Amino acid sequence: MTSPYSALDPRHFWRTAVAAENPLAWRDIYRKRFPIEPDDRIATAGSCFAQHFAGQLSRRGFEFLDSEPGPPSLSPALRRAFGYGVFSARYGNIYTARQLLQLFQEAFGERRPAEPPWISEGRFHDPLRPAIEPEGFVSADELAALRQLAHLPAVRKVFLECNLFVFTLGLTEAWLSAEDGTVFPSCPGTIAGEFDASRHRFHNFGFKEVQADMVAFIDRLRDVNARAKVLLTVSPVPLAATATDNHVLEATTYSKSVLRAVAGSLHERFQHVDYFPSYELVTAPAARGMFFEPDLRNVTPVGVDQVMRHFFAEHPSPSVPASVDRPARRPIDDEWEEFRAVCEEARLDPSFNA
Amino acid sequence: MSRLVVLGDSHALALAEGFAQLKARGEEAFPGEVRFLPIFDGPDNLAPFFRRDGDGIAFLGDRPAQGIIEALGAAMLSPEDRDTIYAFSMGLMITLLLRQGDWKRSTPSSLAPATHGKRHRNLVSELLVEAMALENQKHVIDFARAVRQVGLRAFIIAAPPMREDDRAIERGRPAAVLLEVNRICRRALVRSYSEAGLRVLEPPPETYQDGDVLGFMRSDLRRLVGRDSHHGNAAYGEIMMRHVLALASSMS
Repeated sequence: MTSPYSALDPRHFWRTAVAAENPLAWRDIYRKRFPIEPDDRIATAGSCFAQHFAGQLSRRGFEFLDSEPGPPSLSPALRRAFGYGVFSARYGNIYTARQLLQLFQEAFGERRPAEPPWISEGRFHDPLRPAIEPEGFVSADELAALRQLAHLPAVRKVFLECNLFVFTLGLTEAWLSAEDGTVFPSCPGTIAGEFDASRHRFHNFGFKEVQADMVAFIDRLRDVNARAKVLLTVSPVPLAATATDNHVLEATTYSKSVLRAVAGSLHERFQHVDYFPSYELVTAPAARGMFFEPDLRNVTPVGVDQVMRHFFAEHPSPSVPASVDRPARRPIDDEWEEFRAVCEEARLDPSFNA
Repeated sequence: MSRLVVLGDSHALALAEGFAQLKARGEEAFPGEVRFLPIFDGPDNLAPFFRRDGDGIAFLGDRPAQGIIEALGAAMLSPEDRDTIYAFSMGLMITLLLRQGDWKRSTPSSLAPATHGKRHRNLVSELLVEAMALENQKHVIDFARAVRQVGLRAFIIAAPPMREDDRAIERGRPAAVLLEVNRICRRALVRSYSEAGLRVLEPPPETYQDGDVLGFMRSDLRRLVGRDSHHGNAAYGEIMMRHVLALASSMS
């Protein structure tokens, strides 16, 4: 007796491909849709988990596009603290599809956010990247100068010059300006500024909204850069907190489900869009949570390594031979601390600094 | 009887020369002995150069460690020696930071209106420049805190104003950018030493061209030896030492 399943290879069966395998030995989970050429300029953006891509791409000899580099002599610590080289420009974490779309629109002069600077302890924070300067800007004029004269031209360059745009979808929950709908990466009053219920409102984006925003972004990106391909991932990092009435576990499942479904739909719809399953690699039940830190939220170095092994197995670089069999290496603690993702969303939890 | 020890980097040489000139004219107004110990090169202070040793401070390198033994007869700076006032000529020597290639392309945001539209001018925030200065002089800041903690009677003598013939300008860094970086760095460092509890004696307006403390050093105060482009000469040292001696006298 035969069925359509009879001729399938083991990767199609849960028992043989997942349950019977050590998660560290999983293989053939991701198959690329298109290759990354050595001279492809790769841009990255997204939630905190996306930060791992930038560093790994550079270290493996890929052409990481950094359109807003800091002074060359900056130490790694200062470079990181001030958001240089974390992504392809100093936009900080972009958690939602709407935030990405709005950044694109602002960079090309199609919108101008109404939100004034957030002020904390006499310093001025950019509401659209509130943690990009650890202590804020010294004045509203400085904030405006660096955004208008340095940052937005750099963002425009990212979109115009990249061959591959890697975006990690992070959240569906967001705080918006009640005045013009501008989406903030963090809730006013957490990193900086003050929450004002008359000026700030909560929104949990649904599937159709996220999909529409991502389609609009992908179309606009193609409009300005016909060579640009897109690689989507979904962050495996659970929500630090939810502003819905739901339990944070349920809210996380909803958020990640929407994002994963949107990523799948975009992969189906666009031939120049690939999907890389970092979410699945880290969160699969067969991993039994082994890729999470004790807080069950942050991904361990082994987890990041696991994700990257699968990615680079399909996209080998000339400088590092690819092998999914290479044992996971745990960076020494000091080194890991240097590369730990900067997660603004974690600041939603009031105990963050406790 | 007090003793003033001017200890630090190569800028202490000009101070020593200036003091010698004052002394030759009988104008060295200080009620005690004055010693000069230029025991560091500027780059020495960019790495760990001291350690707390009980209630005192000892230096790590052979040259500074030997230097204070020979000059002071002790292996470390100790608060038990209540007669000694230390004037540390270090902590604002940011010449190497100014000579980094960074400033060929990067510009402090305060110059944004003047540089907007110019190629290769990347704006950076003032607090980033401050952070670079504080990181650059991290070990001297730690030293200042240690000096305060052990209770030495001390203050800091700032490095001379930037010179218009500085090699950094010769190498293509715009003068306006360097002056602005210099201003931001000095401001941050002076604040940091003040927070650590040490007063900073800065070059007075008369050492600057046209008395403008945002500008370059007066050209007649430059040390003109070899390719030196950042030290002051004996005349500069003389001006500074008048202020050093006045401050030290008020502490003695």
